Amino acid sequence: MEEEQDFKSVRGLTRSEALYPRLPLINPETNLRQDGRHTSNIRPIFLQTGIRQGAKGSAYIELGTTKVICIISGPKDLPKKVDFSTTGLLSVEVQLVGGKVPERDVTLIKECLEATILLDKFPKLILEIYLTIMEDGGSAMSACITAAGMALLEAGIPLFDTLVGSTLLYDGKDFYLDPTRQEIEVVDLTDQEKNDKGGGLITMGYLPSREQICLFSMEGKMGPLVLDSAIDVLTQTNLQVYSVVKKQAAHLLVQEEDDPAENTN
Amino acid sequence: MSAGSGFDLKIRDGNNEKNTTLPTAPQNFVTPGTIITREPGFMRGHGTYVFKDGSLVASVCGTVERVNKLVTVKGVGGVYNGEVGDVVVGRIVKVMQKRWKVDINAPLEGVLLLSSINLPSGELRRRSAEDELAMREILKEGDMISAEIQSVYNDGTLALHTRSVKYGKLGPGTLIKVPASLIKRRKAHIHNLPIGISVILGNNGYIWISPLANGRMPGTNMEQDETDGQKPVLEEIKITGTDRFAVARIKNCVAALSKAWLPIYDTSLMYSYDCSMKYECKELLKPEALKEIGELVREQMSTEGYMA
Repeated sequence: MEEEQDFKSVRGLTRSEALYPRLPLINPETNLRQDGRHTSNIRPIFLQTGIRQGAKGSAYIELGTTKVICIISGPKDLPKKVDFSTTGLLSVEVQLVGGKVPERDVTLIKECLEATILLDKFPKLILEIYLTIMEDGGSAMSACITAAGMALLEAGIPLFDTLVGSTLLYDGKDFYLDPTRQEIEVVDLTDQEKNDKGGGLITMGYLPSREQICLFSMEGKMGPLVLDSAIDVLTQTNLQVYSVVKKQAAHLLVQEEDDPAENTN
Repeated sequence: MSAGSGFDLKIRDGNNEKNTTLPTAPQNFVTPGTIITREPGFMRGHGTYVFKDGSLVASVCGTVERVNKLVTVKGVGGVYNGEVGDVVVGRIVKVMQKRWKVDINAPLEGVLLLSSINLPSGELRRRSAEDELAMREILKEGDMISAEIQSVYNDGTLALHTRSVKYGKLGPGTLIKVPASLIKRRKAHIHNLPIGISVILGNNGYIWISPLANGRMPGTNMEQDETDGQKPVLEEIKITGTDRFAVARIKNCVAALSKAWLPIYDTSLMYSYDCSMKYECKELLKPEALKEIGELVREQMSTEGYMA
């Protein structure tokens, strides 16, 4: 690093940082990211539905080490205390194992889902969506979005479109799609902002057929042109995720055939 | 009698193609957001919505079905939306004031009003306060019933009735759940098969298989002229070993049809039963056996000209 030592911001390395130094985003030997990907590659997605029997819809997604489960329950009757509503209501809970999800993120995800679901189709009913981030290895929010979208497909809830999400990291120079936690930690966003290099972490929730962005969350600072091309890149990435979701959706039909019909007591 | 309480085995080895091959989705498979048609003049059915520009878009995951001008998407979620006149099999989940709540595999629990059942004694009279208090003696939580859908409330709740001698509390038998879309609406849903087993094909996807006629607990739904005054006693109902085997076989035949995604009705069920005779009853638990039966039935049905 050639920057001047700013004595105000000098801080000693903690022991763990000394033992596990932050690797640069690009490995100079291979010219690829530390996990072998190109900057525009997303991690292989593992997506499966039907992980909880008895739930209306459920999905489990893995993006590298990021693991998210989504369980959908309902639509069910509104509790008596809540007012009558002509459209359906959503109750969204996002939990992070061993941590807390910021209120702002939960609200964003909820509004994103409200934009996806045809709420008019179930007035006076409430749909409960539970997201659990079992491990956040980077891009957890977009994993939540894609998992929720998939679980909604299984649940048969009327939707405007199939919801997908992806994340992008900008370090002032390049775009890194589907960043891992290590990569996100390398880019110190406040630092970038101060030095006017620009840098940001963007999560985008997307409805592919309608070509609508239903969730857009950015942390950091980016110029308008850069932001523009970031949105394009994210849209392309979301289309990739969409093709994965579509393939898995075909499994849904087969899945019903695979399980011999249930037999209860 | 209930089968399967100790049987939570799902033997998947023979059939574990899950993550190795991609399934071939049928041609008209859609996901939400897929535009079905841009042409005007089509009526939208379940599973679709109309976008601002007039195009018809799928709102659920499933296959597109077109009947003349009506376009629906048969959802994979398979939510059962009842219609008046459907026969359903349900389980009592709540006893409330003057009504029972019934689980019928619909988004909202079905409602069975006290006034919609025949009193066990067969009398025709106004329900009194004593009747209300004695509701649990007629039907309590956990009981199975067969009923018909009387009406649909604004919010989609289904109102049931058992005001016919063929409906009412079910006696010993086996429940099997299949996707509701596999049960086509037919003239009759309660079949007393020639082998001595009765099958109730609920439109809601719940199927009741029992050695009793109409599946019903005798003496619980008297019509006027049948008053007997005696309460039915469960212990007095004799179920033989042959009955049990027959019920188990039928249950597996239904499973075979469901697995092969074939419509389930009396004809397909009897075909399936005939095909299953080459296996011993317990062999039917193997996924390969079910698969084979499904294929044989499909073949037979297509040669006979039925829609498979």
